Amino acid sequence: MIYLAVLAFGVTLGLPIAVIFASTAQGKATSTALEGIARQPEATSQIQTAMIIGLALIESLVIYSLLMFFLLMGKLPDSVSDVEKLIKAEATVQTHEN
Amino acid sequence: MKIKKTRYRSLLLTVTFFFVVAAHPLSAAEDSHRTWLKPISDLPLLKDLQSATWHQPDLIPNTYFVVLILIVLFSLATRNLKRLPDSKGQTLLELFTASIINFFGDILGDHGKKYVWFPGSFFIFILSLNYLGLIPGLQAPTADLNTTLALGVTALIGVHIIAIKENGVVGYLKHFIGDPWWLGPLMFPLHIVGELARAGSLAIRLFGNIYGEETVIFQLTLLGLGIWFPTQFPMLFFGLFGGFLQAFVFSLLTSIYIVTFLEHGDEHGAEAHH
Repeated sequence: MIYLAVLAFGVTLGLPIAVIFASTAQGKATSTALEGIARQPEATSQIQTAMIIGLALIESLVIYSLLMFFLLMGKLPDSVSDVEKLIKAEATVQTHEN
Repeated sequence: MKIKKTRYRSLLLTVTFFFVVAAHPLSAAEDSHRTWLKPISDLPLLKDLQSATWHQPDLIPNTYFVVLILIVLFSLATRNLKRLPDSKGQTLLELFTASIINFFGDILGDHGKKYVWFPGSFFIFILSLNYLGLIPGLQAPTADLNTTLALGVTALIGVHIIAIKENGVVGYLKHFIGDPWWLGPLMFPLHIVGELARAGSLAIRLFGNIYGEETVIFQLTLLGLGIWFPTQFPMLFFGLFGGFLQAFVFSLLTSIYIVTFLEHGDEHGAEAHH
């Protein structure tokens, strides 16, 4: 049962934590790019291209975390009755051991 | 069947298309994610190749459909090429191709300009694959990890073949050993794993983005199926932007990887000019 609880925490908290840090990094990158554009408007297209590349690379790390979410999502039990069955099975195994 | 040129003809046609075709239950394919190429992939030879892992049993007909359309489109557009173009098709094609060649040529530099076809072809192909998912009734082949892994491995192999052609086998291996030669045995496996990680990251980035878009479009279509309303319409615009961006980033990274192997060539060019 502890396994199921920790699995649920891992599945649900993994992606949002990645998103928090990635959005901070992307905000920093965009703000620096905007400052550069404000200082030198004629370099706008080059700065914009570099910013888009940087954002796509940071976003790809979040996508790796999303992939992990998809892989782990299959391991969660389907409904409450399945969880009860798993708990009963674990209880019978423990009584057999004792 | 030409519809008379009334006032808001194009707007009416678009709205009718989205409400009738895009909101049709067949477009969403809510029964096991089949596209309208289902009859082709149910042929006896192709039926064994259907895989359900990423919810796209019609992957191979979808991919070859894109290839067929690209071949037909480009062979029709390059039929009567004139030196000074006076037709809309040729001008558009030249605009499109020239912008790709200029952009990747700038990155690859003088010595790499002859390899501009490699990232350019990736760009056109992946762009068409990504945009197939926006057509109601079809799915994007890049929403499947198999396609993107194949593309990533092809990009990796191509970059290494170009590196061997440019630097020779000895120079290519020297690049793996790194600067202080006595750290060679340490850096060699690190560089190899780094190269494999580059291919994997290219594949997973493209797969994750397009699969996420496709899933969102699918779920939004399911919302509006009962009432024949195209609820997935706003997401299609994001699909346009995101598909272009991912194709662009894939081909840009491939060209940057080529540049990291070509760095020794620039000094010879500068010396030859003097």
